[in-house]
Amino acid sequence: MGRRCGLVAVADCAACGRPGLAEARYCPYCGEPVAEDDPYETRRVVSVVFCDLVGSTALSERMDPEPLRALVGRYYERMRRALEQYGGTVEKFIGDAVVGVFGVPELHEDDALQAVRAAVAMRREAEQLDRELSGRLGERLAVRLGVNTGEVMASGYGSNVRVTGEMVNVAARFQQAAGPGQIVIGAATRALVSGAVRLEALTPMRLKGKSTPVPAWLVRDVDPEAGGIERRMTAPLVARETDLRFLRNSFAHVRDSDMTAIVTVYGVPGIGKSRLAQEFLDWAGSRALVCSGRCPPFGRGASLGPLFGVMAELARADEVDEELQASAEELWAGAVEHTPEDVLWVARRLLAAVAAQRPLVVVLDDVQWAQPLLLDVLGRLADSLRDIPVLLLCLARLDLLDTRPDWSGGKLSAASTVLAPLHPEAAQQLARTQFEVVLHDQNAEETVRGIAARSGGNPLYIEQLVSAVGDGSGIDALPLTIRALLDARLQRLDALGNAILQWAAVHGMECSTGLLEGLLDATGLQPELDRLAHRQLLEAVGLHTYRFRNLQVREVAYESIPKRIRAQMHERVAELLTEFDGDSAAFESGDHLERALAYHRELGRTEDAEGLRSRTAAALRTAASRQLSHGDLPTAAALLRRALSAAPEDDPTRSTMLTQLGNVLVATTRLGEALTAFEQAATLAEECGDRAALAHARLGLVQLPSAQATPEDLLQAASEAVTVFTEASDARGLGKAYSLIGQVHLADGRYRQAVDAFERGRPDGAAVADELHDAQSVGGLAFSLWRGPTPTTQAVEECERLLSGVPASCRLVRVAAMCPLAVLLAGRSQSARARELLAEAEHMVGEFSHEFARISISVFMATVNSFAGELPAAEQRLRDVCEALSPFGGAQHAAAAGDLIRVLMRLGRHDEAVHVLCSRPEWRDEGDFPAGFFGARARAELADGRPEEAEDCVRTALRLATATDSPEIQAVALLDQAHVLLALSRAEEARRAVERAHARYSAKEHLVGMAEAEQLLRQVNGSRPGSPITREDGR
Amino acid sequence: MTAELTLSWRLGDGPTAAEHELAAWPHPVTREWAWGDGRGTGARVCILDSGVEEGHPRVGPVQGAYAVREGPDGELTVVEDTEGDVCGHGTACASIIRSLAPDCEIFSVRVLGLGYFGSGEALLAGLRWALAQNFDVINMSLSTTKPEVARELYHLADVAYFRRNVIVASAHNIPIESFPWRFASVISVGSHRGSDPELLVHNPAPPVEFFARGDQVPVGWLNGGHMVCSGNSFATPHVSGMCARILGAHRGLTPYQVKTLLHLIAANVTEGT
Repeated sequence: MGRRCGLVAVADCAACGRPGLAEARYCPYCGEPVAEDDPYETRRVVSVVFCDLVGSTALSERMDPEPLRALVGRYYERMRRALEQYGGTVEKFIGDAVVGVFGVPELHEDDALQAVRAAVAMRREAEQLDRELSGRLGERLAVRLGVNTGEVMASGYGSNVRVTGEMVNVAARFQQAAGPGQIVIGAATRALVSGAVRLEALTPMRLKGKSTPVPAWLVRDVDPEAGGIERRMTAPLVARETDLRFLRNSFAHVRDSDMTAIVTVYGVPGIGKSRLAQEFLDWAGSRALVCSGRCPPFGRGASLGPLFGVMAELARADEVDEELQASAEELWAGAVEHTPEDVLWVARRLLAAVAAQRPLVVVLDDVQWAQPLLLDVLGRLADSLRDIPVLLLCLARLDLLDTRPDWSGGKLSAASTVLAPLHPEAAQQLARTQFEVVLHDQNAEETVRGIAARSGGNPLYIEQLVSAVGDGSGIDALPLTIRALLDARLQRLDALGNAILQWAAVHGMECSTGLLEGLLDATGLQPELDRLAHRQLLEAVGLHTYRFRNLQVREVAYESIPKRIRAQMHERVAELLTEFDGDSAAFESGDHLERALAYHRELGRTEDAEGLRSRTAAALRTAASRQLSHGDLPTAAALLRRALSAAPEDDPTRSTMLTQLGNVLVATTRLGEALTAFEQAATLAEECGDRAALAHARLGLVQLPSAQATPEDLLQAASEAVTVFTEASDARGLGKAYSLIGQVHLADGRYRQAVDAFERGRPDGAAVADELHDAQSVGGLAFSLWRGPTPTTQAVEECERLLSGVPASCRLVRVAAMCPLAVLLAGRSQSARARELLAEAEHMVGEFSHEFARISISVFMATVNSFAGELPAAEQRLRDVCEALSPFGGAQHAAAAGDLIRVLMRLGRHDEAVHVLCSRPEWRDEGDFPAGFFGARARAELADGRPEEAEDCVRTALRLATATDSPEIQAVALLDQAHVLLALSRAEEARRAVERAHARYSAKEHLVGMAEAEQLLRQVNGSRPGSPITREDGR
Repeated sequence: MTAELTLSWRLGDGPTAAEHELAAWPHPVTREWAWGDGRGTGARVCILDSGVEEGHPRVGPVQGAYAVREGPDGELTVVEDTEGDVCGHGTACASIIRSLAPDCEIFSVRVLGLGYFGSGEALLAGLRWALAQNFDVINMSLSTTKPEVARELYHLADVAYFRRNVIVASAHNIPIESFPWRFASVISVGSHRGSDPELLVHNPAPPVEFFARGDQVPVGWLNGGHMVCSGNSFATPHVSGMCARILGAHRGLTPYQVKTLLHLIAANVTEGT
C-alpha cells in the first residue's frame, strides 16, 4: 500500500468487517464487493461536531414539504459553510443533523479548537437564520451542538471521509444533552482548547455504555486569536542562558551599529521559542520599543495581516505623524487596495519614525505559517532599512525551511539559532518547578525523573505530563495535546517519510538503515533519514542507526497505524530480523511475532492468529535457549512461559518446552513450580505417545527432592531413559541420562565410574544444546576428576581441555568447569590462579539469580582460602554458605558445617567449633552425612569433652571414606582421625593414620595435603607419650 | 480561633502575662530529662500530608482526619475526611511519629491531590486551619518552590512560631531552594545514614538544622502494609516524634526552647558537654 511501502495489506470487508482475502474481488463471507485497500486509512485523533435542529418535527408537521425542503436546504448550506470555513469536512447529514469532522483528510494540531470555533459559528448562523425566518415560520429555529475529540479509524479523502469509533457516539450524546443554542464538549476537547475558550463546567453526565459519569462543559465563547493549548508562560526559563545571550547580543549589535537584523529562532513545537522571546522582551522592554505579532495557523487570514497588525500598533507611537498613522490603520482595516510596494513604503517610513528615538524590536511568532508574500515583504523591508536599529525576531518551527529553504539566507544581517531539547537535569528542574507542592520522598523524585525522560526535554511536554500527574492519568499515557501536535507534524511528511517512521516505530525506539531498507524494500534511504533527523524526529546513533528523538514521536507514529496493519508489520519485522540475524534475532523476532499475535487476537482474526502461534512459540523458545546459554535463567524461564502460552494446544514441542522450563525452575530453586511443569510435560508426552519426551520429563521428575528417589531409583530411571534415547537417537537425551548416572556415582563417591558415565554422555566432547544440562555434565566431570583417583596433574590437564572447549558465551558451563579446576590448582599451591578463576566464576554467576551456583562457588572459594592458609576468609565464606543452605539442610549443609568446624579448630577456636556442631540437633544424630562431616564432628565432639562420640564419628568417617574411591576424602578422614588420636595421647596410632593420609595425598599429587600431613607428622613425632596435647596444630 | 496573631508591643499589652515561665533547666540537659517518659503523652501532632490510614497497625488511633476540599465556588475549606491516605506517604510519617511517641495524639490534614503532588493553595488552607487548631507539632514532609506560596507560608510559619506551634519541616532531597524548611521559624530536618531512630545530629551549617534517620526506614504504608523508604520525608517525622516527647514531658515550651533542647540532646552536641 502506498503509505506503507513494502507491505501489501488486505482490506477488511467494509460490509461485514470480516478479513478479506488477498486479490479477492468479493468478500468470501457476505459476497459484497471488496473495496481496494484504502491508502488513506489511519488511526488518528479527530474532532467531531454534531449539530441538530431543534423543533424540526414540529416544523415538518406544520409546513408544506416544498418550503420545508427549501428551509432545510438553507440550513444545511449555512452549516456546511460554517464547518468548511474552519477547515472541517461534512461527514454526513442524518435527518436534520449535520456531522462535521476536523482532522480528515488533513490533520492540524488545532483541529479541536477549529471544531469549537466552527460550532460557535454554526450557532451564530442558526441564530441568523432564525432572525431571517422567524417572522414567517411562527417557530423558533435553534441548534444544539456537541463536540468531541478522540481516536477513530479514519478513511477516505476529499468530501468522501468516514470516521468510526466510540468517540463519535459520545459526540452525539453531548449534542443530545445540549439545550437549544448550547455547545457541549468533553474533557479531551477541553484539554486542546482551554487556552482560547471560556467554558462552564456541567455536572458529569451519565452516558449509555459508560460506567462512570463523563465530565462535560458548556462553551461560552471563544477567542478568535488565541492558541488552544494553554501555556504556562510563568514557568521559569531553564537552561536557556546561551540562547538568551545570543538574543541580547544580537540586540546590542543592532543598537550599537544602527542596523536592521532578522534573527530567526527555530525549534519544534513546545520547545520554548515563545517563552524565550518573552524573557528577552522583558529585558529589552526598558531598552527598546517592543511590538509583537503572530501568524495565524496554516496561512489562514490575509497574507500580510500579521505585518499590518504590527504596523497598526507602531503607528500609535507618539513620534508617528497623523498621515502615516492613517495609512497604517487603513492597511490594517483592509480599507484600501495596496501593492506590496505600497506596504513597504508605509512600513519603511513607520519603522524609521519609531526607531529614530530608540531601537525597535519586532517579534513575529509562528513564522512557519507566514504566507510567501509576507516573507518576501519582510525580507525586502529588512534589506531596505538603512541606519535604523530594528531587530526583527522571527520564531519559527523547522517547517519554515521546507517551504522557504532560503529564509533569511543571503542577507547581510541575518542570524538564526535552533533551540535544542533541554538536557535531562534541566528537564527535571523544570518539571520540579511545575509542581507547586512536592513530597520529599523517592517516589516524587522518580515521577519527576520519569517526566523528564518521557518529555525528551520538551518544555511543553513537561507541562502536559505534569498536568497528567495532576489529573491522575499518570505519565505513561500520551497526553492528547502532545499527540495532536505530533500527529500534525507527522502529517506533513511525505509518504516515504511516514513509511520510514512507521516501520521504525514498529521495530522499536531505534532501527538500522539496513533493516529499514529491507522493510521498505527500497535503497538509498539516507537522504530521507537525514531529512527526518533535520526535522528533529529521528537522530543518528552511530553511522547506520537512527533513533526517535523522543518516546512520543515513536508512540504517535505507531498509534497512527491501524492495528490490523500493525500486526502485519510486526510479522514482517520478525521475518526480516530472522533473515538478517538468524537465531540471534530470536529474542526480538519472538517479541514482534507475539505482538502480531496479540493484535490478531484482539481484532478477532482467529485464522491469522492460529497461523502465527507455532512460529511465535518457536522464536520464543529459540530465544529462551539462547538466554540459557548465556546463563540468564529467569529470562529464559519467562521466555519459555511466553512460548508455551503462544504455542498451539497440539504443538508437539509443548512437552519438551515444559521439561525445559522445569529444568530452569529447578536451577532457580523454584521446585514446586518445576514439579508442575514436569508433571504437565509427562502427561502431554504420554497423551501423544512421545516416549523420548516422556523420558525427558521423567528424568526431571525423578531428580526432584520431592520424589525422594534412592540412588538405585535414579540409576534405574537413567538406564531406562538410555534405552529410549538410544532407540530415538536422541543425543541430548543420552547426554542427560548418562549425566544423571554420573551424578549418582558422584554422589556415592564412585568418582572413577562417574568420570566414565560423564564421558559417555559427551561422546564428541562438544557442548550439547541445553546449557543447564551441559553445565551439570561438565561440572560433574570436572568435579569427579578433582575428587576421584585421577592424579592432580592429569586432572588439571583434562579440566583445562574441558574448559577450552566451552565457548565464552556458555557462562554457566565454564563456571562448572572452572571451580573444580581452581581447587585442583590450589592443591598444587597455585592459589593465585585458583582465586582468579573463582573470582571470574563469581562475577559470571553474579549477573543471574542462580543461587545454588553462587553458593557452590563460595564453598570452592573457602577450600582455596583454606589451602592457602587464609583461615578468616575461609571462615567467613563458610559461615555465609551455612546460612544460605540452612533452610535446605541435608548433606551439602553438613559438609559445609564440617569444613567450618575444621577451620575453627585450626584457628584454635574450639568452643565456636562446638557451637557450630550444636547449632543443628540432627548433626549429632546418625544422619546421612558425608565422611568429611563426621571427621570434623569427631574433632568437635572431642573438644566438647566427649571422646567416645569422637571415636564413633572417626569410625563412621573412615567407613564412609573407604566406600569412596577418593584419595582426598580418605586422607581428610585419616587426618581427622590422627588429630583425635593425638588429642587422646595415642601418638603411635596417630602417626600411622597421618602416614596413610600422606600416602593418599601423594597418590593424588596433592601438594598442600602432603604438606599438611607432614606438619602433623612432625607434631605427632614431637609429642611425648603421656603429655597432653592441648593445641591442634602450630598454625 | 483564627490563624492570626494578637500583637503586643509592651508588657501587659497581650493576653498572656509573663509569669508562667518554666523553671530553670538542669545542667547538663539529658535526653532522659528532655524526653521524660518518651511517650509524648498529651502532645497533639498534626501531619500535613497525603492523609493517614486510620487504625493502621503501626499508626493506631488517629484523633482527627481532615482534608482540604474545593467548594462549589472554588474556595478551599477543610472538612472531615474518611478517605484516609491517597498515596501512603502520610501513613508512613504517622507510623514513625507513633513509634517515637506512642501516646501522642495524631491528627491528619490531607493537603495533597492525587499522588505525590499538590497545590500551593491547598497547602496554605491546610496550614491555616492547623494553626487555628493550635496543634503542638505540625509535621511537613513536603515543600513548595512557588514564590507566591512561599510568601504566605513565611507569614504562617511566623504565626506558628509565636503561637507555640512547632513546625517541623523536611528539607528537599535535592539541593534546591524550597519552602517552608528554609525559614528560620521552623525546625528543618535532613537525613543521616544511620539506622538508630533516636540518633539526632545537629547541623552547625544551616539552613538544615538537624539530621535524623531517613535512610532505609521501615514505615507503615497503605492497606495495613509496610515498606522501607528513604528520603528527608522520613527523617522529619523522627524529629516531630522527638518534639512530641519533649512537649509531652514539658508542656508549653516555645519553639525556640524546643529547638534548643533538640540541640542540647543532639548526639554531636551532648558528647562535648
